[in-house]
Amino acid sequence: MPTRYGTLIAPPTFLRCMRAVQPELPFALPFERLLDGGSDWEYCQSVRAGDRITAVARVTDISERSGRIGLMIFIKTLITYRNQFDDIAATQTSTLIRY
Amino acid sequence: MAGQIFWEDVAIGLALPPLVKCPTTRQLVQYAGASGDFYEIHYDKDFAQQTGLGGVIIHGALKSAFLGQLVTDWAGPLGTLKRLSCQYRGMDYPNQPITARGIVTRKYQAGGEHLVDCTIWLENPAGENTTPGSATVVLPSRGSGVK
Repeated sequence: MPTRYGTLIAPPTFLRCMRAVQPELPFALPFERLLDGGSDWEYCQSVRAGDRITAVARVTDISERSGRIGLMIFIKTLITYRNQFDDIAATQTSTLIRY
Repeated sequence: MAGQIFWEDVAIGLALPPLVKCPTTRQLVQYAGASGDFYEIHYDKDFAQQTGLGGVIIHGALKSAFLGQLVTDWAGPLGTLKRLSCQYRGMDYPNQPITARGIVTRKYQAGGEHLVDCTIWLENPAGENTTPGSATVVLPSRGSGVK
């Protein structure tokens, strides 16, 4: 179906499947279990079929909290997705919980 | 344009048409392959139960994809999603219906755009909100000469 974009565009969270390389922490965490805490997406440019996307991930915050499941480490990662014109297509902030 | 919602049609408190999903364990395996998230809690029941879960759980990112579909289906071909946010507070399990819902919370103009904020969430079969979130969309305005 023709769209106002002239081609197909990606669904909102499609970029999650780009396999952005996650930064390695420079220290070991004594936790084996993990949970995805949530994600926040900001959209700047539509992702069109044929775009070449570059994803760069950066750890922006690490904090600890205690909850029902004991001590938890919250790791926030900001992933910036840019297209072939070097325009930001989207940013994604994810929260990973290690416990 | 048929089926297109316009900014002028929206009022605070308006409910988005609910989107019901019933992901299977097969879909979780497919999503693991698509996303590269092969954490065993999403397809290995024994493993999931050893970590204290009731069974395999739905990927958080798949749940946010359902919420994305809820909002973009509603905003229509002329709407544009600006922001999508959610927190995975409760576990959701496959082979049971989960319902994506949303309500308009704010309607405003900024930067020449006609914007709408929504509260969005996923509801499990018990009616519990497992995944609270929010979204912002740009909608076309009848006053802006939409083709």
